Amino acid sequence: MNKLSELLYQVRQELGPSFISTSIVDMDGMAIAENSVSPKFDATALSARFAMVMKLGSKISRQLSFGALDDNLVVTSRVFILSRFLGDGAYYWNVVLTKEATIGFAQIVMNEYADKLWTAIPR
Amino acid sequence: MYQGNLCNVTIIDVIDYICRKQQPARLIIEHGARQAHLFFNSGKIVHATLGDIQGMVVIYAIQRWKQGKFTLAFNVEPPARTINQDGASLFAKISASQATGPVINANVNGPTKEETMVHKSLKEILVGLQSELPGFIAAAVVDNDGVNIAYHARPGWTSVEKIGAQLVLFIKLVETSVAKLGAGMVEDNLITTEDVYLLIWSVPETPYFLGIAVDRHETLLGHLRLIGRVYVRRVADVMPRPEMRKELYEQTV
Repeated sequence: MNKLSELLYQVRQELGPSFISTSIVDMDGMAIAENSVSPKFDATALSARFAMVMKLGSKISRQLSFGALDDNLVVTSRVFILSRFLGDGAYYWNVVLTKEATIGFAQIVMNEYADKLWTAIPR
Repeated sequence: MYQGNLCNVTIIDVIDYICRKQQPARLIIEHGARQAHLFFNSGKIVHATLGDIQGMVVIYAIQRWKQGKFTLAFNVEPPARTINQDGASLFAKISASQATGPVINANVNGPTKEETMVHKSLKEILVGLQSELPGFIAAAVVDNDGVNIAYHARPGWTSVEKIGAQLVLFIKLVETSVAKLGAGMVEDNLITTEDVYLLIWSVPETPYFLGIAVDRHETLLGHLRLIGRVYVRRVADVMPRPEMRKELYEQTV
């Protein structure tokens, strides 16, 4: 197991039963590492679609002079989808959780792991 | 099965045609990422859906769609009944009534008393929002075409006109992405930037959105979500409902 996959597995362990999926994605929408509770979960589609969401979010943030985009949280009737940029913004990190999750705790875990993941991305 | 484009024919024309046929039918209208389903029986509209919205409010939402594709199939039974009126004539009358003003965005002859009341109520709500949120930057109520229905911003903030179109562009992309993933219906979306929290809600049971921007260094996120939840309900309460519009219509004929 490479370092990135190992870190994502640790994230999954920390988030417990509310965890559904996580992936590290480049800005072309291609996942470079992922971990899901179910092999049926379409992490590839999520990665590609949310790359577009993050790009548009960044553009809007610039146009409204709100500063650089840090992260995005979508609340749906079924899940929470958290997305945040890593490092210089060349990659972003997705975490999908059930509605039973505690969002504040998930954000703390993401804050804790963001730099570790960025450092672990091969260059 | 029939297919067509709204560039060549209006929604009213299509609905009139279906009603004259007096047969069970399903009309699917695609407008960007949105898809409305209308069901007919015995010359009446009996059911309509748009995302998680259903009933007459869908008709009010789609009546201004000028672009998009439609697909018509006869002998499709309606899955439910949420409308119990002569849809075709009501649709035509509503459309005609835009010129006299009961619909929010109809400004052909300037704002009516009702429009002014709704706008004033929304403005008061948005001003109230500012008083409860430290670091308030701006808030806007926007329709699904990105047009600002009402907005309020702190003095000196100059991007007010831009915010509506940007909010809707973003939330539509999120809604499409979530729908394609089968991840449920979007309830709200929080964008966190270096300086700002930008929270976008779908106003329940309406085709409108409420967007609120606050300085993230002056507001707690939990407080923003709490106050936002209260105010999105207040916005929903003052937006015209099908019943209210029906009353307004009856007052104008």
